[in-house]
Amino acid sequence: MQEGTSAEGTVVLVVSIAEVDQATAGQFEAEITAAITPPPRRLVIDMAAVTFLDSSGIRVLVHTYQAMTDAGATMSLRNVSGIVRRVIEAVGLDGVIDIV
Amino acid sequence: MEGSGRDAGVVDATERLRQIEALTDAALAHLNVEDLLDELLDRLRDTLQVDTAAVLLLDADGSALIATAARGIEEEVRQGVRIPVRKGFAGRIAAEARPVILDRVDETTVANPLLIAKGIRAMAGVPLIDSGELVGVLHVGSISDREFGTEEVELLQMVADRVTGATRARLAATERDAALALQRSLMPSRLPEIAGLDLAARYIPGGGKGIGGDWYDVFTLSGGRVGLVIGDVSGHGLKAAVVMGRLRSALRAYALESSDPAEVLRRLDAKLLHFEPGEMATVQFALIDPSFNRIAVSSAGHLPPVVAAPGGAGAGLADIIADPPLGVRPGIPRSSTEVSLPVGGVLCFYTDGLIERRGESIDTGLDRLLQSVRPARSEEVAVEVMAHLVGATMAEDDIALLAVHRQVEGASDPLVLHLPAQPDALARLRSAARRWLAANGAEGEEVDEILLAVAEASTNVVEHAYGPGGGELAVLFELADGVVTITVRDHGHWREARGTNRGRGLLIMERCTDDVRIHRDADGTTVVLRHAIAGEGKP
Repeated sequence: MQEGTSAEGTVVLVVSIAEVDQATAGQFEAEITAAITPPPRRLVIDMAAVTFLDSSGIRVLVHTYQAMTDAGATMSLRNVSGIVRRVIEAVGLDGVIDIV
Repeated sequence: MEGSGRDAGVVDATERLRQIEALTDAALAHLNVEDLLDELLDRLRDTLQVDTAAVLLLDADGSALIATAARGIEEEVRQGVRIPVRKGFAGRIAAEARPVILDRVDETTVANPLLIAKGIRAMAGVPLIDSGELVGVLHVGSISDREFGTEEVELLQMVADRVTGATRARLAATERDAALALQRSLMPSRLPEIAGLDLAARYIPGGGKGIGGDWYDVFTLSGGRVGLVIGDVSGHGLKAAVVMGRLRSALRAYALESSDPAEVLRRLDAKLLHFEPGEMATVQFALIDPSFNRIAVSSAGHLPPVVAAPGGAGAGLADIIADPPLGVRPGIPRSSTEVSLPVGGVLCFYTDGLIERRGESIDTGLDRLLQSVRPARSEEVAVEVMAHLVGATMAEDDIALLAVHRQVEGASDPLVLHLPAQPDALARLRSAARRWLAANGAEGEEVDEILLAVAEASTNVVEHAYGPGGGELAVLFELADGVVTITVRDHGHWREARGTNRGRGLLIMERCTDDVRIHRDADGTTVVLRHAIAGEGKP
């Protein structure tokens, strides 16, 4: 995991977990929690290393999205692979969570 | 005998020896070492008419004598009397390796206060020598004043030789039993079941040189990776088996922490050098990736594995870099080499005991091994290799063999998986499913969708079907008429999806497949998923 905070208060989190499922969702959540403490203005989650993500991972993304939105901040995903994009579409979040 | 307070001369030397000899005959063969020594010492006390008799054996590092058997002053053994070599009476016999006679027992001549407390007045002792090496001390004591003569010392030395001879065989047998028990307990009793790989192994304890420190190991790691180990600790006997056990556990621990075999062996080397200086081992650690397409091997002085691919090219030695063995010196850089195992191929790991024969070059054994390995089921390979290389000969040295066969998957054969209903089984399920889907021509988004749907059905089993004790997750993949049917089954009690997340799980199953059916009955729950694939029939 690498994080960088720019002057504008943007945190870029490069996720290090290859396969996010029930066994690894806790680590995924821990990486995100570390990245948003203290809360930035904008969170960019780089998913380049993620080759699989199921509903356990979706739950973490949704909770993060809600927390960021509640705090008046924004969240987006980048470098989203085919399978991750497919699961986000399947649960109807593709119009909600910003994918760049 | 002059100076003796007793009429010891009544029993002549020949008669005494005859009595002692009677102790080592077949009638006593069933006694264990302790009982045998007690029996010998009792008889010695009667024969020499002394009050105490004791055997002290040298400890493993040769620095002290440990009271092992005692008659007359049994406390010596019960209290674990320990006499440093060179100290006191027994220590002096050990240091000088010759008989010593004492006619005065006090703090200046003995190190064991029990002897003084019991009122021992005179002592005689001899070293126990086995093949020119000191192994212990035998001594006798008298509570009355007495001068032990040359004849009695000679008799004592003869008894000492009997003690040495009688205990050596039994101690060796005990050590061999312990080493064998340790070896057996450390070899995997059952190799793990890995869909797509079939495994077979053999371990034959050495006969001639004794049990050694050979071992093999197979374990699954996170993300569907598989670790294979073969190794050989230098030396023989219990010591080698103990070092082997430690290396085996440490390697497993390092394999959890690093995914580079070279790094795992680097750490193992540092551990061996630090905690077991003077020990040496050859080890090979292979890490198979979940697709089975890449196998990274690091070798610490171990013979290269044999690879046999289908297609009739014959078996060959894998072209890997061999780094020095473990335990040579600190800081040796280590490398990993990638080896490929084609579908249908076999990879064979072994220890030198398999190919080395007395009076024969190692190349002859290697040639014979290469001729015996062919791309077939691993059990067939193991049977053939053992038949050709061992046959009816008794193994001189330990032999370990581990054969891995990459099964031909797909070709419309169903994939059947039985996994523990635990979160870390999900990654293994996905790797097996990926390989099966690829072999059956599924590609791109089809594969993604099937993996997502199967993951949700299986996660539900893992989360909800069973209590903390866990249970089994059974998954069946079948292909017919261009449709993949996946059946996920448990024998627990499926709970209704609760909360938005489980609702999402069902949504993912529905959106990612053509058909989802959930059937619940008293036996458990079955989820049947169907997904058409366009690439059916492609290899």
